[in-house]
Amino acid sequence: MQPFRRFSAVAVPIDIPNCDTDQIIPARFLRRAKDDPAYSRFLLHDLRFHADDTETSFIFNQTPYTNAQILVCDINWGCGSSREAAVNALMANHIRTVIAPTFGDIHYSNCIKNGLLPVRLSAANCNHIRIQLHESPGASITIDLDKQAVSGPDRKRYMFDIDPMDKIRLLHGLDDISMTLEHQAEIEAFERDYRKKNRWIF
Amino acid sequence: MRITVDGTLGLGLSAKDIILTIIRHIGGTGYAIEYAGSAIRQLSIEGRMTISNMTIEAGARFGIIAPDDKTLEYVYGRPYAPTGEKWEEAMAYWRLLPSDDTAVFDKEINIDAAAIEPTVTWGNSPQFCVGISDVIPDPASQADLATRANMESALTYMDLLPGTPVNKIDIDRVFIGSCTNSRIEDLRQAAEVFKGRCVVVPTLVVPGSGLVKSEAEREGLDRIFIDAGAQWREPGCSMCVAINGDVLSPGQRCASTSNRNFQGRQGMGSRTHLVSPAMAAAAAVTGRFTDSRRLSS
Repeated sequence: MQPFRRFSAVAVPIDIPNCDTDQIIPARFLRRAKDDPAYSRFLLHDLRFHADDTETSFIFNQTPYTNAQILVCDINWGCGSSREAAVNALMANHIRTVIAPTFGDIHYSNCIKNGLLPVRLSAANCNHIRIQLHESPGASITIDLDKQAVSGPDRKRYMFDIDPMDKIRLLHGLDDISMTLEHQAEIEAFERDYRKKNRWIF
Repeated sequence: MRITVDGTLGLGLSAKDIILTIIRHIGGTGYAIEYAGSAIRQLSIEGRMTISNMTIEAGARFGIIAPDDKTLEYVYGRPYAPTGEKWEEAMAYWRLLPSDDTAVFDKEINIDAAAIEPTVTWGNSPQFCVGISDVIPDPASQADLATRANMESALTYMDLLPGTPVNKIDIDRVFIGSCTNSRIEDLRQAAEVFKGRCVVVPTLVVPGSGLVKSEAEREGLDRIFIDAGAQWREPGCSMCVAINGDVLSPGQRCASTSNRNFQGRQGMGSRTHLVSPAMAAAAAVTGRFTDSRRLSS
């Protein structure tokens, strides 16, 4: 997993409260492999493309927002279905951070597990930053995970909270599997004992 | 969080009405939910699965219900269930699982089962639901501006006006299936309404598994669906997520027993109303939302 330390990129405002994971990636794309060359198109697909596959005027299709690698969103981003594909679709577009007032609980942890940083800022601050991004298309945002600070297009610093364990995982690029494998010997000992005590499971 | 549903559920109501009512009133984000109370214990395992399944729609991580005799009877003899001596060991373990009487929960909610009505969602989030005898709510009555805006956008997408009686809303399609409501009991409840009637809109009935399908056919439920003019299909996700070619056209309104009514969930521009199997069947034979209790045979 790619470590996340400090990151600067163009940001795009997404003014959709309660944007559920069916909007982030419609279910009909879920069986597609995440290395499918078309995967980047699945992100927010039905907002970005008409039924005939031509582009809509949705903000993510507009230059210079097409280069955005940071999303600034509204409340309850990623609510609904727990699908990890929602994170895959973000990553296929090189999105490395989503800033929102609140997140769907499972989507938030899916982001962390894949090395994508979800940042919680207050609704007022998110709204303020989105307005700036509309006023200055192509403006950049910098995120410093170690300092837990976002510097907005106005160069103002917005501090954010993150679970200390999540922070360590992101800073060092540790995914669930590599962290688990560090304890392989203990896991094997546990399994031997557990099998002995719970024969009915196996 | 513990949600205790006490009392007796009205005749013709089901687990779906309980869980939609819970989601309507309770936010579960950041919690795991244990469901308890006499109304939950009275439910079959199928009904309890419907409740646990939709816990995610309340925003919670998962929903659990303490195992009791019904749970053990349900598991006994099923594929992969332990047998013989191992069954005894498993039972001993499962009997340990219920919460202690002295357990303390972060949050306690109590719900009166007798007050629950057949429930229909009207928006693009499962919490936006009302009883069958209600009208579509008016966003203007909402003090919270974010909720008001959310309601307004849902009403626009769903093409509904505040004040419209729910039982005056015409539908185009019906879907009975999904991991929420495609177990044998769900199919029996739908069949009860279909018996001797005919669908007036295209209706899909999709069993949840091969086992459910063969049990339904053994009981002759497939004949009831087919005789009523519904399609009896192979198990799968089908129209819940607009796959296997089962997709609504833009603007079409569907009474669906699935768990999610987000924009575009059943196809681009699709309009989903979540209901119980009995309510979906009642909508199929009348072409609009109808109190299924009036139709039960």
